[in-house]
Amino acid sequence: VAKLTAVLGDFLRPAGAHINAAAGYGGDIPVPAKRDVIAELDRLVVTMARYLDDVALPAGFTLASKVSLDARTALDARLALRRAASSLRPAAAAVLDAGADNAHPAVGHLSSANGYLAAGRDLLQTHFTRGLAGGPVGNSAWATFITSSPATAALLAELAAFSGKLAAWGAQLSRTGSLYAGLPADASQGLHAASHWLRIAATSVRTAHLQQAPPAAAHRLLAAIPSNIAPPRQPLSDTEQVPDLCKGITVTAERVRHAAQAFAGQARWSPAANSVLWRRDALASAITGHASELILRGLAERAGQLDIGPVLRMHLACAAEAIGQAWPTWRAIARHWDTISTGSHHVRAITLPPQQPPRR
Amino acid sequence: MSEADSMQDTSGIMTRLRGATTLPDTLAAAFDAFEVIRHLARDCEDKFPAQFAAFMTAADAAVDGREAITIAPGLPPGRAGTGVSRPGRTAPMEEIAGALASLGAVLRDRLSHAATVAATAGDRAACAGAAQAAGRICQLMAGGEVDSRPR
Repeated sequence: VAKLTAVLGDFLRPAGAHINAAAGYGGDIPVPAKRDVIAELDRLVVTMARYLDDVALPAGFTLASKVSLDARTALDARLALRRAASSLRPAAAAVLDAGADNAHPAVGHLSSANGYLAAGRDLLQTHFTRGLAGGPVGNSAWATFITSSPATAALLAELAAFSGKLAAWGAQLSRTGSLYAGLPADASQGLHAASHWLRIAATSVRTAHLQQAPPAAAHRLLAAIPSNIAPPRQPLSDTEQVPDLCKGITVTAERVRHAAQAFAGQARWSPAANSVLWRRDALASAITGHASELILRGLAERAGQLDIGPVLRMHLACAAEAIGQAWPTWRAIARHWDTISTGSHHVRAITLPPQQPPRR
Repeated sequence: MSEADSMQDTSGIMTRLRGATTLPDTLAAAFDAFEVIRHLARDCEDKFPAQFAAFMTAADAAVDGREAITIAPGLPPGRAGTGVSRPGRTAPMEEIAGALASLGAVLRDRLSHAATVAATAGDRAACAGAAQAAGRICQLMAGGEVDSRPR
């Protein structure tokens, strides 16, 4: 099956890999590189917090509200990540003017992780538009899943894994070496506080998931969320091979799906959608199917006479068999339309060829 | 039903069409004639695979004709459920196609005439639409003009 568009897993997986790679350097990082690590961590944690900022609060929520475990977990994690981001902000400011080493691989990994996570969040945003009240309104079939409890729980699990890894690494970085690990006091203390809040974010999610873990299917579906962007049109040419045509059909079907969703709000009953046209559709499908079966059976028979490869003969026979099952259904549909009318229509006659072959 | 019944049925409806002197009678007979054509064409779809497309399209045209008649203001009420006997299925294809072509030609001519003399625009439009459908049936079954004069 042709993959038409990027999916969230394309961003979450590499983001996790880059975070793991960065954390793999442990606390033994030169001080100049540490400064840039703090700056990148600041950006990364802000991005992670934004994911949870997008989680919708239950209606009428206050801090005293009793909400579901899922919602409470999301809110606790959101609060912890916001505080981690708040702690890192002065830390990043403290190292802003100091000499930095952005060539260290750990810095590059963090930057890449942030890039992937930001792109993943952008992908999720394509499924929503702003409503009249300014709130997000789903504009795709995936929007309902994205805002569901299982999806939120699965996303929390991903972010908790990142948070846990970053918390442990941040703790290492902030305590390595001298009193402030060679960093300005604000930077070291901010990093330490951020590590604390990241650990809380991770722990709150893990604790909740011990009671009620998201189903495995939610993780798979989360990773499979596609971008809600119609693939570009693929104009026909004279040189396409069968695989190109198959891909083109898939792309076109996807574009139709997007168009259907985009115009659903303006949908009106088409005056062209009436019993006459449906009857004609069934008629045309039955006739073309019937003719196709005759042609395919004729070709299969001829292939046998010419002793052409058995694979080709088998494909022809299979195709004939398939179409032979399809057209009788279309004929049955056409017969059903014999006695059904959606109203009075000015029937536009089928135009017959001027020289219709005689029946004999 | 025997082959003789089949021919008798199409002959009977043709006699009704030719004998209709008023618009309501013509419309009622035309309605039943289109139903005869539809049933007979549907029955022939399986029996004569080589003419599958022709019979299917003829049945479709018969539905078009019947639908056109249905909205004619002059059609007498109470047509729904009017029984039309199903013609026999044992006649040869040429004979059935010939009978359908003849019936289509009679329908076309009678309805074309009715379209010119009907008093109301609704009846005129209905008759014209139905006549067009009947012409298609005639063309499909005969592949050309058919003489609709009584024999």
